[in-house]
Amino acid sequence: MQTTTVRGWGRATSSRSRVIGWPDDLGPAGPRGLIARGGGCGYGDAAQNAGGVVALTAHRDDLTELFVDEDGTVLLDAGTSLGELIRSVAPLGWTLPVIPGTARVTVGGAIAADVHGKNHIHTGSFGSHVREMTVLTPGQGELVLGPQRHPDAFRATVGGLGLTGVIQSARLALTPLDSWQWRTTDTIAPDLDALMTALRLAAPGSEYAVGWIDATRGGRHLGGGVLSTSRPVPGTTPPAYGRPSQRRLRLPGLPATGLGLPGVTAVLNRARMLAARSRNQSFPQVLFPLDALPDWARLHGRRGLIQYQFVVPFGAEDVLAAALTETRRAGFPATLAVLKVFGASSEAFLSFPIPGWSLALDFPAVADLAPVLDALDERVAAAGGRVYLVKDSRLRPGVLETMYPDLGRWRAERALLDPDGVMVSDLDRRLGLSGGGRA
Amino acid sequence: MRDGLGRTQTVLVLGGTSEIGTAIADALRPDTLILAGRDPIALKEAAGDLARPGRHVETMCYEATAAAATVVDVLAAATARCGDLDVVVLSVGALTDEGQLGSDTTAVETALRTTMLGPMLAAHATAMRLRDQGHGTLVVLSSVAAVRTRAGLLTYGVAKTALDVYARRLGAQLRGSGARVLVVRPGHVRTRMTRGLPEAPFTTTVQAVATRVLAALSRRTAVAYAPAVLRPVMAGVRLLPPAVFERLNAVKPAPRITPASSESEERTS
Repeated sequence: MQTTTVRGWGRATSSRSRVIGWPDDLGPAGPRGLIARGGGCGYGDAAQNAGGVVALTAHRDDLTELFVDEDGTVLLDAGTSLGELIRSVAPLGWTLPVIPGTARVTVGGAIAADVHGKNHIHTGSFGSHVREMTVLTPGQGELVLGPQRHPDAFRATVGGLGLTGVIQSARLALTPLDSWQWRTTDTIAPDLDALMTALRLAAPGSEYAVGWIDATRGGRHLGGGVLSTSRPVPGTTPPAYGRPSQRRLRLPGLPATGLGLPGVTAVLNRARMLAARSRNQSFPQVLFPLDALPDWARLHGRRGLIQYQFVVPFGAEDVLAAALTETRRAGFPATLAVLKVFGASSEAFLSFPIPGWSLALDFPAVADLAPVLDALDERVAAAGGRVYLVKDSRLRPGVLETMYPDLGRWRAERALLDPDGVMVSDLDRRLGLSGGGRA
Repeated sequence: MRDGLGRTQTVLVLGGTSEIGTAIADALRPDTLILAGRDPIALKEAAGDLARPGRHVETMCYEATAAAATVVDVLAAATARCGDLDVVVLSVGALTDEGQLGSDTTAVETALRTTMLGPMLAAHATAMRLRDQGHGTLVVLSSVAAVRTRAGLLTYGVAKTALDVYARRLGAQLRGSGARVLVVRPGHVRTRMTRGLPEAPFTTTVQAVATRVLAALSRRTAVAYAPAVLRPVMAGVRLLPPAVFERLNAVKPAPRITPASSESEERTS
């Protein structure tokens, strides 16, 4: 069997699989099962399947024929990338209500991870805007799912990490886009309290709001950073349809832990603070900061990068401070720390967002982080929060049921949709997500 | 599954009462540890020693001299109970010196079954399972005796040589499958059973061997010596003319070794 190394976006996880193009049926799944892989933007092992089959769904279809219905919805193949989609619908005056930090995510991947954007407080997560989707399930064949149609299967598939079947197409609701240029305003916040207050005040009134934290600073500057809010500049139109330049800086991997080396991040963060200002940005610049970074994972050295993103309810702000303090004290201040505020949660069983604070921390993948993050897991779980599974590469199975109280319902639904466990990923094996493995 | 920080989830030790084998398994700090061996009472004892908060330890029956199907079943049962195996430590065998084997051909047969045939079949079965799994590491406990065999340890040395060669070739076959083999060649290791015996040069401890294995696992090494200095030493020893090699062994009489003084492995009686 010809196998290929499949990695997570963070490059810290990898395994060998038979990689094929999605053949529109589940035939190639062998004893080790199959998982669909879209844009490959999951940080960890959610789209890896050691010894099994990884089916690539992403493609570059010509979307010029795209047809937006009168009700503002559009029917898309699940392998369409969100960037491609936005480029096609923006000239028609439309955009997606929920857009994650990278344009390479596919429609299927965005549904399977139930991704969120910097506007969660206004729009919720991606799955809330799926009107209908066609899913090929191992147990029940092709199903058309929607919020009202097989609602439980729908709720299991949104955020279901591809473990209920392969999403083939989806009808998404769009939202009007009235300007291509956006005004982004940076506000410096001296500490975590100031940043949280500013974010919470600004979020309801701005389209997009996100807090960036200089995680290298402690003491009275702990959690200090920059709040960025973006509002549309009325009357600006998108450029004519065409591919944007693909000029991306290719960097060689950095030695050791790269940005994780002492002082490197601190210097870069100071520069980021000094550069804080108000500026006009194009729509993609506002939305896809990750895509502007050249090979972010490689900048973290040979072992790659892990991201620890968690959410805790309002009132558990001490966990945010603890996360910053503990990782910094252990000698691993996050190379990137992003704070967001979440609104209402969705009904999907394994959906990540709940009302509260979300903090995403990037680290070089060093083994010494394990006990620090394990201890944080306990605090997050005890506070009623959870870790984002599609970004995870190191959580331990024990805390899963506390973090995701609907896990039992998801497992029950998954047992109906995929009774033989055909859909398998390394994440599923590692966490015993579908209940298999450990007796 | 191994996680993004390189942590091991599930470890199986074939030869689950071996001090070196269990020390390696313990150092990997797995969530699930399976000890497979012959003596249920000794296994339970070892399991008790290796219990840690948050760790699940299981024991299984496995006998190296049994038919090949046994080890295939052990691997299948371990996987069914605990999921994919991230690391399998193969620490089966017994140290036998020629003086003790004497003219007893049956004893030679038993020694070869325990130290050569059994481990080779276990290595094969494990390699095939890890290949199908698409990930995992097989750690095979060989010996410096596999590099240069002296007359006093002929049967043992030959058995380890065969296992060593076989395991390395299996490792080469696994290349590209996601699974790998690490061959460990310890020198004289201080264990319960070697207590009171004269020590060879570069004598080491089980903990030191475990640390060496951990370091080797984080690199792409196929063969690890413990202690590390034995690599150049054995490279030199390998080049010695046979007459000189035997004279050296004669000058420094080999430690008096009985079957009970096994360096790394299960006791055979």
